[in-house]
Amino acid sequence: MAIRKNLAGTECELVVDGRVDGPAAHELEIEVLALAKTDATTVYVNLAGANFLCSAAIRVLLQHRRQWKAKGKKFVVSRTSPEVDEILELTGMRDLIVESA
Amino acid sequence: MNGEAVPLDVTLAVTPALTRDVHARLEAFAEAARLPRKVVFAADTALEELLQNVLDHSGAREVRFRAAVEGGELRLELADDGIPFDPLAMELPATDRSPDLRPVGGLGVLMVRKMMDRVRYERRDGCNRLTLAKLLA
Repeated sequence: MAIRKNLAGTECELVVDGRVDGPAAHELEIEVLALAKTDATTVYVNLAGANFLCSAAIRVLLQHRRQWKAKGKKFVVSRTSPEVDEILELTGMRDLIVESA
Repeated sequence: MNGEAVPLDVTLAVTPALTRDVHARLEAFAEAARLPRKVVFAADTALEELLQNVLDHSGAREVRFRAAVEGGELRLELADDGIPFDPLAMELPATDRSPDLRPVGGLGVLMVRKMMDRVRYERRDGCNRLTLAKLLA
């Protein structure tokens, strides 16, 4: 897995490519926790290049979505690959998907 | 043609590298057997979730991983020497509830059940044994 950060003011896009398995989900969470300490108020997680998504990664996305929302901030999955889409569909997590402007 | 690959049978130490090791072995087996990508994706997802459970909860030292193509389906078996643990007994999350309200647990087992055509657990000879099957067509 590889993660790139695109920063623009208080918005940040996390571009996640490759296989998001258990160890990768932990890496993703570290990136998100680091963002929480910045001025970022909106995070878009771009999973268009991710070809695998495990349940640990979904939990990271779900928990941080809740935490950011509770602070009046936005944390959304902006794009998905077909593989990620299939996983989000079967787990009923489609509500996580919000297209970025 | 599917089913030409020699069945896979390996015993692996339980280390943090376990899931990636099994993933690599599954990919090699799938390539030799010319399995459809959809079948491989389902098996890959199920194995990741079940092995992560082994790593997190079982205290196992070893896992035996077997894969074979028989009777028009991919058959997998995981056997670990950890404490008795039936992941299939876990309550499944209600997927019709809003993600904001839903408990975060149980997603992995849900993925296993939905991805595979058959999943079975038994405790035998001091081991947790999970057998899984996915139809090739």
